Amino acid sequence: MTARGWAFFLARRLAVLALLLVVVSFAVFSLLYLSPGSVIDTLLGTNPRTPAELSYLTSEYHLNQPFLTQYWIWASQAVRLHFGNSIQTSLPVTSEIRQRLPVSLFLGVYAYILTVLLGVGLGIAAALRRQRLADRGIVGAAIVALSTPAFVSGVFLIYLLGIQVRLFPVAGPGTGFFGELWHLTLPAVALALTATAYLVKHTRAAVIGVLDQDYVTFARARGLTASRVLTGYILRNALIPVVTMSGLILSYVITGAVLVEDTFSLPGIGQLLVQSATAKDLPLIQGVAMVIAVVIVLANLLADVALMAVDPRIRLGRGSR
Amino acid sequence: MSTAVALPAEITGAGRRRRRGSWLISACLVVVGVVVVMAVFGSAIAPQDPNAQNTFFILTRPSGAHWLGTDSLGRDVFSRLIAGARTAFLGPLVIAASSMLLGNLLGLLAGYRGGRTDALIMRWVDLMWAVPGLLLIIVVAGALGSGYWLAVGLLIVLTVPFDTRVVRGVTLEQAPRPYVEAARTLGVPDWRIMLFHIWPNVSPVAIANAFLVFAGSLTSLAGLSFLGLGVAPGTPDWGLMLSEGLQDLFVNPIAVLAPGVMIVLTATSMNLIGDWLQERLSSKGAAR
Amino acid sequence: MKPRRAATLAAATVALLSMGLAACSATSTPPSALANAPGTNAVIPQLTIGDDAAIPTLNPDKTADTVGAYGALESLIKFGPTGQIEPALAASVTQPNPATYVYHLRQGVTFWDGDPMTSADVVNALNYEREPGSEISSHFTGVKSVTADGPYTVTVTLDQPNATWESQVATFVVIFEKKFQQEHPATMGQPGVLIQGTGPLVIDSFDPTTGLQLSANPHWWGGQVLVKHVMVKLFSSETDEALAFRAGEIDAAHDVLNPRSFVSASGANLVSTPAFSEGYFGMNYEIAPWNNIHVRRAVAYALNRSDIIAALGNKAEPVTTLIPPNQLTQLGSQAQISALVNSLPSYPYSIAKARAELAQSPYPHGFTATAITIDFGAYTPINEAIAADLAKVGITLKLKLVSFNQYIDDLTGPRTLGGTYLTFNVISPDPSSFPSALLGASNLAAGGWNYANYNPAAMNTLLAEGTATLDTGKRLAIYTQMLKMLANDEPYVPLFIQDYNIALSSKYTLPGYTVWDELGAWVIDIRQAR
Repeated sequence: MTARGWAFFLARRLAVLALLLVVVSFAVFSLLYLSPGSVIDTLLGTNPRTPAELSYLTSEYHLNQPFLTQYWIWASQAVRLHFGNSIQTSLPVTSEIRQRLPVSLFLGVYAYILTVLLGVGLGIAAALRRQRLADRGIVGAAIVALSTPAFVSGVFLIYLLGIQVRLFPVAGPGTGFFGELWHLTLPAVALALTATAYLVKHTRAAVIGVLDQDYVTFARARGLTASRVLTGYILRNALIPVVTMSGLILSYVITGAVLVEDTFSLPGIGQLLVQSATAKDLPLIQGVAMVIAVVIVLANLLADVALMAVDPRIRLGRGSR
Repeated sequence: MSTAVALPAEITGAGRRRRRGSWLISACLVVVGVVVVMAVFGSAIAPQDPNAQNTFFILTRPSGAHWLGTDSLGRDVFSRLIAGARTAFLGPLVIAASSMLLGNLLGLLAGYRGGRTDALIMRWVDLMWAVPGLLLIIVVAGALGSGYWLAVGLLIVLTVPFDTRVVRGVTLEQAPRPYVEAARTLGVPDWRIMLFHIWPNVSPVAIANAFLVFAGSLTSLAGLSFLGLGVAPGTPDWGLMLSEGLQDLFVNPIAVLAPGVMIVLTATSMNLIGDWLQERLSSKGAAR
Repeated sequence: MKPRRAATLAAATVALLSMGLAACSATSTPPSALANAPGTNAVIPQLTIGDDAAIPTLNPDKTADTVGAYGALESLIKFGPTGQIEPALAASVTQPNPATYVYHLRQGVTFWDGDPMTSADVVNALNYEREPGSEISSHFTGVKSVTADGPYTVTVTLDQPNATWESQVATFVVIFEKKFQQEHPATMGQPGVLIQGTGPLVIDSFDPTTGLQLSANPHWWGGQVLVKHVMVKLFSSETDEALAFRAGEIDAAHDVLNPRSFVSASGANLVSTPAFSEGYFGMNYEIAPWNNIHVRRAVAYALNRSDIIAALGNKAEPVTTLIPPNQLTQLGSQAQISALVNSLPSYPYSIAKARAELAQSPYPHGFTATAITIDFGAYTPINEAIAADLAKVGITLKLKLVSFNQYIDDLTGPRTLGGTYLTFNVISPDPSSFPSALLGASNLAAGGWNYANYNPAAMNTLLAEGTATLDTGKRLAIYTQMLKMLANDEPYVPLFIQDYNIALSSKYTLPGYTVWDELGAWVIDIRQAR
């Protein structure tokens, strides 16, 4: 694709991202508006409340304004990148997110790297040793990993590697690069288990599909060594599911980590999301939803770009691209 | 694919495979069969009332009276295990089937038609991914009240984009192939090409994916129970038993192990069956 | 075994084996009696404490209880071990008339930055906490004025005499530095800004995601602080806390709500003290079938308190009065109070009597209803136990899990629910605490907790009289009448009173822990075990 083609492609995608952000913010706002309870309940909890207090808080947070007015109040500030303050803590939304995003990103990228290394490695190994002991073992382990909920694998990892053998810490994100690396290893493994299992299965299937192809047989018949065959054809095609699923995996490990964050008491984006949704903290949840939307769309964009780079058929065979 | 060259053992093996694997598949079918029976008959075949509490026997270890011991309210774990099969099996089944139906249709359309259809569908997929699943579930559950079928519905909505993407990827691979070109030249209508020509080649992946989705949904529903968004409290349900029992892991581990083992066993069996189906289908229907 | 079979099974077995390891080594450690023993007076250099509450900010306007609990900010007065009022930042209190309190401040008290505490700081703090935007302002209604009558004298005038004023001051007032607040009007209490207080533990750093760091105040007016550094780590749930305890990452855990599970998962010792956390089942006077007196009495007979206490993990006492007996003892001797409680109409557990009552109602065979519960503490097992008890007389209670906010909203807003369980918590010795929060017309407005919609006219009179006089004899008579009314009508079935629990590693002890320490610095009372 020409440079101009790329430019158009990216521009279209970014325009779609902007539209997406509007839709997401409106959807989140509407759902929150519809759900029962109010943020005042979070603030006051079981404290008795006086009418003066109630009316003060209601007007302060615009809770008695009409539906669209409340949305507009938020949106008009948001386009100027003023996301307001969290109602619960009165801290700026941006600083709340800034405190938690690094942990989620670190954890997500760590889990992603583990997933790709293990997923592709084990997937290829299983396909090459198809029907043998190793294949069955890997596939079996993958299925078990797939079937184990994240909060369960977290607890067992804590028990085995945090309590029985005090190798890793069991809670908290740690400080400094190596501190974080050490603290986030168990959570990254717990998070990576499910994604790795998916990747192993898809990679294995893709490699088996490639191995069955004529051109592999032909290459072998021509006398190419196994490793040339492997790197030349198999790896390239085996990477397609990785690339197809990368967007998915990356979004999952960054934003879907709430169960793991809960188990390991990590202050991440996932927890912030759940917290702000149940507390009906509108500025905070909108900010978090925006960030997550951007992360996911960017991840999918990267995945699509990589897919086009890896598989020429997709790039050249579709006029619309 | 017959050639005169001696092929390495890893590449062929179709014949050997079918003979040796059948033992395992039979075992999986038995497991799934047992689970289905438990799901259908539930408490009717349980030895005791799954909801009968007895606070004198909280968290007892397995014994003659209670084969798997009791949970934190003194209820018989074995009976709850049997009664819990229903919610654990039914939901994922519905999710996998619905998501496969919708995801395949959309994926075929997107991959085959391309152009604006593809762009539209993929932007919808992107939108679904941009609204985080968990957020959607929490907020919708808050608005409409949490519940099992609501969670199932939401999981279907969240899984369809995944299926769509996978099927679209395979369809994109198939669409430029000669046989599709040939069918088009012969004047076969698009929908027939998609359903009867392309889909049989897509089906191994689609079906294997459906079984993967089943296993994934099983654990997702367990995760939702953990967050209190699944079945109502007190319902016998493997996911809920797992999350409730986790805090008492050190007192009666069986109360946690038993539902955990059932979840793993069921999901594993479904996956192995899915794999077997995929291999049968791909060696039959491949038009490479 | 053939290789293939072995391999597939082996993979599954790996998971099972690791779980099996858990089973083999699972022990349930009985709580040790040594957790209350007096310890040594050795200095404790560092304590790490776990807490699963959220600490959003240090600003007293925006959070009712967390800051005082770690001893950082103090009040003018405090509760002693039996709930009696004792001096704190106020060396003495005089009352020229029943509606006026004159606080004579302790001299020589300094804030952490070295500045002395004067009446200006106290007046500023009190006014700040009672302004309309403050979360705790509802506790200061009835305050007419707060004035400084000299550098160490503060006078508070109430609209009318109020027997609960002293408790409110001890519980909700915290004194911070005026100068600091005026320099940081919008950001006081936020991470990085923090706050200036007078307490034995100085807040060094704070962050809602990672917790608190505190260190001993070398100039504390109350004497030497033996605990030099405290780190408060925040957790998402008690299970995580328990596992971290077992892994040796924390030395103590605050406010354990699921004692049985925590002890078994963590191997910790538990220090418990009777508190005022009362659990009760309230029934809506305005909704059928709960509006029928026989239905309510049937429910009262059907609920088995020992069952429910076992479900919640023990560490609770059964109770039959809405006002906890250990608050009533403020107004009379133990013997008097026991006699009073025994004289009230009561509903001891009896399925037969429950069925008999139900037979006299329009629903002799029972009925079906929905009850909401939340994922907090032991609410769900308690609700399940209640449902199981009611099922025995034909009342089917379907449980529905809702969010915390929705729960509060349902109970304090439209009040269209039928029967609901609630644990209401106060830390106050005064017997008016529960009635003034739960009963009467004033609590029927939005935000009030009278979710049974129970509003007989006589009750309102009693409520007003109960706090308007300071005479203990008169008050006892008033509350006795109140309890009689409640027992006859049974809008709320009192179930139990829960203990406060603190988990401690065996290296430490916490002698003399009482519920009153929750409002102050219980942490500095931790001692090294012998």
